[in-house]
Amino acid sequence: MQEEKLLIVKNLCTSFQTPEGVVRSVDGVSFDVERGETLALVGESGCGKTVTSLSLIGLLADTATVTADVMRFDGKDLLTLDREQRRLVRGSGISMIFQEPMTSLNPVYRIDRQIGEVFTCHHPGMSRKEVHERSVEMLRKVGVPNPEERLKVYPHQLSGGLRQRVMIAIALAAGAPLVIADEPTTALDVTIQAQILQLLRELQQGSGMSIILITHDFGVVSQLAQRVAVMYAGKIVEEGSVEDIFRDPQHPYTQLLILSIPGIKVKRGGRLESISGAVPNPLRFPSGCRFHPRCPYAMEICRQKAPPEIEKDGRRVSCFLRGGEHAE
Amino acid sequence: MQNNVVCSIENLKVYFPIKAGLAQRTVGHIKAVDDVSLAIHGGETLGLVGESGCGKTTIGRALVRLNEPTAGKIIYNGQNILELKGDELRDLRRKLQIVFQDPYSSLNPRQTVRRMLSEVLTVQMGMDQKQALERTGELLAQVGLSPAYAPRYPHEFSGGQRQRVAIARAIALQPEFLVCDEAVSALDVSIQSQIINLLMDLKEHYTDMTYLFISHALNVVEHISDRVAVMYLGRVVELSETEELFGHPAHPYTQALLSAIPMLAGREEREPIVLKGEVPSAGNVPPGCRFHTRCPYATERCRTEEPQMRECAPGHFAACHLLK
Repeated sequence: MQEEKLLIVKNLCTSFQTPEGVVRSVDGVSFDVERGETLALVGESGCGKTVTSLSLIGLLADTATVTADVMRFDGKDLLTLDREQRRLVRGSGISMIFQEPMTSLNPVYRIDRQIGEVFTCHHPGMSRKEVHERSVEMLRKVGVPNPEERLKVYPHQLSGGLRQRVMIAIALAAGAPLVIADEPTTALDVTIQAQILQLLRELQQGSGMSIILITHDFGVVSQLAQRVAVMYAGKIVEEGSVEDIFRDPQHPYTQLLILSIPGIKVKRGGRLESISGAVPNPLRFPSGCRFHPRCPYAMEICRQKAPPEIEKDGRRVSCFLRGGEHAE
Repeated sequence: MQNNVVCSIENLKVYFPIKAGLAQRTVGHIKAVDDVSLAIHGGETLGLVGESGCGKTTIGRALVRLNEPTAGKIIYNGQNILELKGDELRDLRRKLQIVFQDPYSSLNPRQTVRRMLSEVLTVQMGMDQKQALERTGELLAQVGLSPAYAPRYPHEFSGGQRQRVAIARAIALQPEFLVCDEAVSALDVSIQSQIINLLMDLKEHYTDMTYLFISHALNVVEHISDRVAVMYLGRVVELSETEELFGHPAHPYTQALLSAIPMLAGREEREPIVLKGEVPSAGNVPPGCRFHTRCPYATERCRTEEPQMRECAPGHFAACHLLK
């Protein structure tokens, strides 16, 4: 019997109670993550990629309801854990690198306290001297120059790139085998982005951790991930290896998304593909396939029935164009 | 390509004072733009790229007189626009327009789209109310919005639609020159491509319209620009036609910048140049070549002597001592 995958999620649904009604931000999402691999969740704003990751880590507000058929992490059933057990998984099991390092670091505490907290929480008996040593070591590991001095400064005294390195140090401090990186480089300049991506690759090679990379940038995906899941309106519409998805996207949404980015397949000055309309309001998702109002190939059946998921050659896609008309 | 220069920026310097202490004495200057000269040809799209803080936005804002330069000239059609006042300045504003990055903060939340556009038309074009309303409908249609949206307020639109409204406002006066300051950076990719296509269509519709396209997104700049200028820490370090620049970058900074664009699978493998360190503060510019602190090829000369722009191939300029 082969070793169980690090993370298995089946039929995850997350909904929010709002004054206007129930918003089903994530609606039946299934995926898994192998040990040591990077899975990218890609999609435009509002597609539910961040809510998916927050559901895994249990960081949603009380107005949220999370249900799933299966949500297993490292052999543990995340659904049956109580609050305290859940808290222990956060940090030492699954940790998170947030997008905006300026708003996710606490502005009134120095860096040493924010990194040190991770060690004191997860290793209650650790001496202050050891906490300090481990903090310095962590900062050195993520490439912060003069780590001894940087521990004594406040977040606003660091540049954007350094702040993101500190965020990464905090996320990795407890040695979590799964790290969720939510748009880790979106707020950074390209040369700094290249540094951070290189750092994440090196850290992954060193420790064998798994990464769930959340991004809207296909360029970043190709730099870091082995597999991609494309999300649209709360569902995963297509999943496969990075090579397969870029070479031969199967879902019309993925195809148009790739063709709408300048510099990939369209030649300079040529007309970019665009997707008419906008991402639907999660209060009123369209019937049938949620992409049908914007899809150039929409058929009658797409308006009526949700397309079944078709699995083939290690990839899956939910679209009637790829078969499934007679599935039911 | 035509070589009629419509706008020439000469030795432009924009410094912002750094004030400190109780008395708010000036203790230094942020040299946002530090001696930039640039000629923009009529009808072209000039891309201006660089990382945050390099001064690209400051140049764009100086062009439409939104901040006052410390020194230098901007000659537009033979006039130094930095000396214009009153009516002359108002006429200039009609010719030079700008689209800002953030469609959420650049539209007045308390004005309907109709009021926003018709005000521009009545004040600047001398139209009466009826003509202005008609033209408003036309403008909305031109940027791909239904004229029925005219009575709406900005918050009733999505980000992409708001950016269309901002573009409609900018082209209402039929400007000759449009500064697009990160005009597509805040948008999702599928919406971003709609706006890029719109900007390219408008250019075809209003022939001779010149764009200064400011962006940090190199793939977008490559797609839309005829020529590209690369800025680093207040200076233009390289300028060339787009294909030449992306194919044969001469300056080490441009080379690193281009190699840092994450490439998609399937494109040729390149050895990435990952720059060490960060952009120095514009308040404390390194002596010599500004890039020497991060440059992998820096020599002693780079630390002391500032390189000047030189032509390294026809129409291709770069400021680096290593170039012959």
